Amino acid sequence: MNKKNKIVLSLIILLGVISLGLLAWHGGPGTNGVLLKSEVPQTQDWKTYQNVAHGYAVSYPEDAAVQPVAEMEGKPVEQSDDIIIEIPGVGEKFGATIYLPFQNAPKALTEERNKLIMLPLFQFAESIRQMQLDDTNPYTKNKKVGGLNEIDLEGQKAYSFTLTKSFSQGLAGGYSLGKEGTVFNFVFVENKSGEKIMIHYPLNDDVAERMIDSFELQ
Amino acid sequence: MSRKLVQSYALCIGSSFIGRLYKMKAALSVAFLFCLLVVTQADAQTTAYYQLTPFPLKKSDGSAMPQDLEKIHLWDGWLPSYYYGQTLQRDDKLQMGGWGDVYETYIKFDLNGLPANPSAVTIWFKAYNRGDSSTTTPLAFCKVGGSWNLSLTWSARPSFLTCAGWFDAPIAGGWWGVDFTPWYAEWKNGTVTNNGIALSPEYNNNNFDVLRSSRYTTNDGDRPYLEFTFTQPSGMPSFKMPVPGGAKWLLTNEIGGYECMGESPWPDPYHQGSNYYAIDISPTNVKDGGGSYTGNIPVIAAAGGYVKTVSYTDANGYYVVIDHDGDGNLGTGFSTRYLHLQSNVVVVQNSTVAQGDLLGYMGNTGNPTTGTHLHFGIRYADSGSSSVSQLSYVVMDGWLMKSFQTECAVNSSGVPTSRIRYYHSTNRTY
Repeated sequence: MNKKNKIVLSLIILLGVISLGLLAWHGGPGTNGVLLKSEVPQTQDWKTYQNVAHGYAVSYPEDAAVQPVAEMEGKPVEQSDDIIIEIPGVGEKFGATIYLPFQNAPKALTEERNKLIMLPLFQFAESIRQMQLDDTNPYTKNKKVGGLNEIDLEGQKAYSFTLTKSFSQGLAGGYSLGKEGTVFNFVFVENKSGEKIMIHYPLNDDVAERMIDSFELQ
Repeated sequence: MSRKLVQSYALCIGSSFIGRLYKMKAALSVAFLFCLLVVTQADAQTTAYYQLTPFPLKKSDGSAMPQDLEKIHLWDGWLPSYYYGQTLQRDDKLQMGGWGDVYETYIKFDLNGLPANPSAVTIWFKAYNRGDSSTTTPLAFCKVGGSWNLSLTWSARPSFLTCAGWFDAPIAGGWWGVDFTPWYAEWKNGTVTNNGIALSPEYNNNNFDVLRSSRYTTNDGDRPYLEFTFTQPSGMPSFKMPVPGGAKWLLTNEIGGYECMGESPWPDPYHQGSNYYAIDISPTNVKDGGGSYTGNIPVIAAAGGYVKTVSYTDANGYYVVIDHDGDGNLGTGFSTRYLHLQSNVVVVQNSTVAQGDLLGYMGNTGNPTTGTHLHFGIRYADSGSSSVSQLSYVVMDGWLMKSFQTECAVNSSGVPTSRIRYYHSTNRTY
């Protein structure tokens, strides 16, 4: 190997070490998840989504859209059990799912759901994390599931873990988190009525982090 | 070939010539071919059709069906100057001419959900023989200058803003069409109010032209239709109906939710707002050679893509979402949604499917439970709203999405009794 090649090789190794260091510093997949808090103040012209049925609010940019995940829900979005906030042309920034008993589902799904929502918050979050570890989807083999962390969300005890590739809902299927290795943070908290809320948002995304900063239980 | 395309090809040839000067023949030849490919793709023109279906005057419960244009697709009829009470006649024909008196035809259609900026729009009519001693007459094609409705009378008819013609008389058995692109553009961009068009005769001395109207039932393929030519939005797949090919399928709800039975809730809220571009397909079907698909009806991919969601919710039942730009992000590009499937969904999230691949089977899961059917929606950047211009160009099996409209049979009292309009799938056969 000549001198020039040695220099190039050294630079590649150095860049690799720096990249790994940065990944670890930002809490990448497989590491313990943390709820990131942005230093950037919320933009004044953001809108606020207030879910009056499930007692929470979150601010979002003017160009983003709030809509129910399930179009057949048949109630105002302010009362939705499951919403997503996306910026058209950019992508998903925030999702909030209220875990409620199924009304119309087959027996097995209903039982699985009922058992899940009866658990204390820690066990509830850990059970959902375990669903990710048990996911047998052949298209998500390299899925990374972070450890469960206790965090403080607006003065309320909450739990979180990081996830890549796809979110499994057990017998109820699941959804992809995108192909390009985006890391999502999943946060579990109870509202004032004791309903379990699962929030998810992409990590290392300024807008998403500002939105989670604005999240409030009401 | 458009001027823009000629200019772009010239640019490609110029680049190639410069490449030769600099002795980079091979690389520049590849660049030239790539350039041609890009230019050709960028300017690719698509032709698609929109045939407007007629609407009943009553709902299935016997109450009056609102006749607002945005709800009932179109108004078409012929207006006599002397007989028939001098009022707009809405039957299975459109006529122009007269025998001392005058017949004119008036047509107006809803623009919601139609292409925002097409390069050409032509309206076509099928002419037929009146079967009497009359001869045909050349026609003027006119832009109507004032508002009118289904109570139109000869004495209160609006004036014409402008007319084109005289055009040769329609020939019986043939199609007669006029390109009215500039007028359509004015209506779409709001600079001129859409008051529709009129066909006016040059002669009325036992001269008559007769065309099939939107209420012609013997062969609905002979009804008037619009032909649109446009440049496809980037990344728009060539969609096919999400049910097996080689068969026609009954439509039970339509874009915008104004289905022809007028059943409550009307309009159906699940076909409005962000779900405007959604239709309901019944398991009722007729195969081309006779017979039908029975039992478990396959629900198949309308186009290839990445399976974003395979899930159950109490609202949607078992459902699948396909992301057609393949980036796993519904916030970009086109996506399609397949709701109320049976529990035995075949695909899993994060997999890739090709057009026609089996997703699952038509079912009755979720809410509202209105019998076995497929609720199929198309979105762009995860919105299916009528204001999303990219969706106005979506073509499925040759028809613009707006064309997937319901039609009802009516009884002697004018009350709709059943839905009767089928659409033909050319997707994979099963």
